[in-house]
Amino acid sequence: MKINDLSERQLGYILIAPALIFIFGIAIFPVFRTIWISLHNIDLRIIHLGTPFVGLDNYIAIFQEARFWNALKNTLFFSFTSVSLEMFLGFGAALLVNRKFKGRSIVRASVLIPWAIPTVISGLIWRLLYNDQIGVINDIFLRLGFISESVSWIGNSSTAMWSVIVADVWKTTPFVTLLILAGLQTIPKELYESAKIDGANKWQEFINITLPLLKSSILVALLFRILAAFKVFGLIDVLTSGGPSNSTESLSLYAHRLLFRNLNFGEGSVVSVMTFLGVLLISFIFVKIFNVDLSRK
Amino acid sequence: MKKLLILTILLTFVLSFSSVIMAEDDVVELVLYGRVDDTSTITNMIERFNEEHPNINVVQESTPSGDARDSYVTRFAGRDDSFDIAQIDIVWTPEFASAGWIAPLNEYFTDSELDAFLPGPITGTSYDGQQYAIPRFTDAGILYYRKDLLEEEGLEPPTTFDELYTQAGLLQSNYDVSQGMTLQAQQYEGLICNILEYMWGNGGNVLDEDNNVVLHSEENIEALDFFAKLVKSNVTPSGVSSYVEEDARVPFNQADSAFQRNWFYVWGHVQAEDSPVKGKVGMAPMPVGPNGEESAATLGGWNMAINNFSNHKEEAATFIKYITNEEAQIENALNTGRLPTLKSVYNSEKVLEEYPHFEELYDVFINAKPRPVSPMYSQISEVMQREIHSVITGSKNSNEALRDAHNEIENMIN
Repeated sequence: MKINDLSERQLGYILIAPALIFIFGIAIFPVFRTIWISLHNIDLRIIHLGTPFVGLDNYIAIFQEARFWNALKNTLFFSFTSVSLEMFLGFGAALLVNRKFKGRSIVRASVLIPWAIPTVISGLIWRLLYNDQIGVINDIFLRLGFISESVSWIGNSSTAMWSVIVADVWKTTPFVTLLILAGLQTIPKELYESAKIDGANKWQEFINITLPLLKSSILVALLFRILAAFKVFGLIDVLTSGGPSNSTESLSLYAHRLLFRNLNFGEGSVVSVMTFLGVLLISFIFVKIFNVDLSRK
Repeated sequence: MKKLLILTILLTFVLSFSSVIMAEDDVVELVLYGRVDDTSTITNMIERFNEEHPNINVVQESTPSGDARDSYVTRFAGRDDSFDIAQIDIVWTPEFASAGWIAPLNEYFTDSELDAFLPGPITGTSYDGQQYAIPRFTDAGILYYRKDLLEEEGLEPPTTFDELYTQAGLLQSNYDVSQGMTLQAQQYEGLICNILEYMWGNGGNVLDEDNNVVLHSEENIEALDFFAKLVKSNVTPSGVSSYVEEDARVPFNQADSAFQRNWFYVWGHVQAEDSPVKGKVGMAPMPVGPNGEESAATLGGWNMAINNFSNHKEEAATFIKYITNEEAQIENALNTGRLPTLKSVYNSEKVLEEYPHFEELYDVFINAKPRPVSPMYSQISEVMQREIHSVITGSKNSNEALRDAHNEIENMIN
């Protein structure tokens, strides 16, 4: 049999087969495997129990855990707050660095620095910044008279989550800036020129040209950020390790603790599946309702 | 179809290539997997071992210590037989043993061989009446104090909770140290290591000998009350509830704190050439509470275990014996300052000459206690971390927190 004997369709299938096998192996199989594990009692510490099928028992157990709802609440609060701030600041920064001014290329490059620093490193940097004895933040605030004695930003349940959010905003705002800046540069200059001729002011230009043409960039940035924020792990693990008394524990952190610390793979997988469903739901809303076209971006 | 055939052949070739590389001869290759050691001591020992044992070739594979547990869990859960010896933390032993991941060692080590080790590390690495790991070096919680400041006040190092608190406050107000004491109180494993020293030192415990939960006791409430007072007071830094080891060490090392609870590694730092407190620091056992009889230290340290999936257990045991014997431990103590696990090394003249303080600290190490030896330990620790942290950050009182932790741990174990 020669290649020529194959129909175009058959040849197509053969050519994409390796990619499909690859995707199945690293993306689809693990998801179903995790779901399978979540329906079994797999506690590696007590192997004599075997790995019996327990249906939805693990789900029921997790839903009865206050810790799960606390982690879900923390995750939603973190995602909503940090992504809102990042979109707002990122958008502003993009508009700013899109203008022509002296030293623009240096500003554009330096905006990206926080994004380029690995999460764990930026977590460690912020740990030092927040330190009550040697931290710069306390020092500045004390000098400015905002606070009368140094505050334990990450050791205090009323400030810890906000401290994590600030660190995350610092790190990922550049990502939003980058995506929106790219969007801004695809808007043809002619549109603004003709708007000017028609007598539109800056605000009208922004509302009628910039925003509508940026819609897909904004939605893509928003989608990526929400997905990443929903899965937050490294930053919190380094900064607070979930404390004070679990007030910054996210779903991913909780899943990691169940899986790798407690070796309870059944219940840990439930939390992973819930995180997966959350991510799936968010993606679904974006793709179906907001019509985000990922292939065009 | 021809293309497919070629592809298949290629694939088979690639897959089998990996086994071609591992063409066997008579030498058994042992892979030692564990955290990175910052000195070349272990590398030198491995080289010597390989020379002395022509039929065994030990190679080292390292993992950063922060990730060690995750990578062990991944490899063991996948029944990985590509490593033979694992260097594990003392608290993992019961879990890994109960999971069937590490092999019992009693057929390789006699009881009298095991008796030569300090009792704490041996208890901490045994499970269900079997020995599962051999302690290579140990560690324990120590109270570091500013010798010079105490001498000036004419005081002896504190032996009770109250003495510690008053002395720390006194030195803080009379001298140029902004902190009375530093310790570890972030919500993490180190918090448990800290609080247990006060609970044990006040006669309390988490589990009794029959593994009943005894956490919610008068002694523990009193110990936690004291610990919370210490953490919340101005004697300790305001951010101490987010402190880990290095956060506690740095101020003390910069001559900015009078006391510090930390592990033995700190000694090397305070005695370093450029240290502002060189020669001004003493080490003492942790203080005893009003209801306690003797001081307690939480045991740390790393241990050598054999991967239960390994095909070379016999050879692995030979290597573990070699690397934990008296000669190796003396060398390790001299080169790294790590604490030996064999009792006899504490009498070695060579070691005492270099580290005279080993003699007085022997009492700390011989009394150091393992954290609850249970396959459920990680989960017990997690519950305690959360509840104790809620006390020191002010959202619960000791009685409520310990009652809640007690009930939760009881439900978990039964």
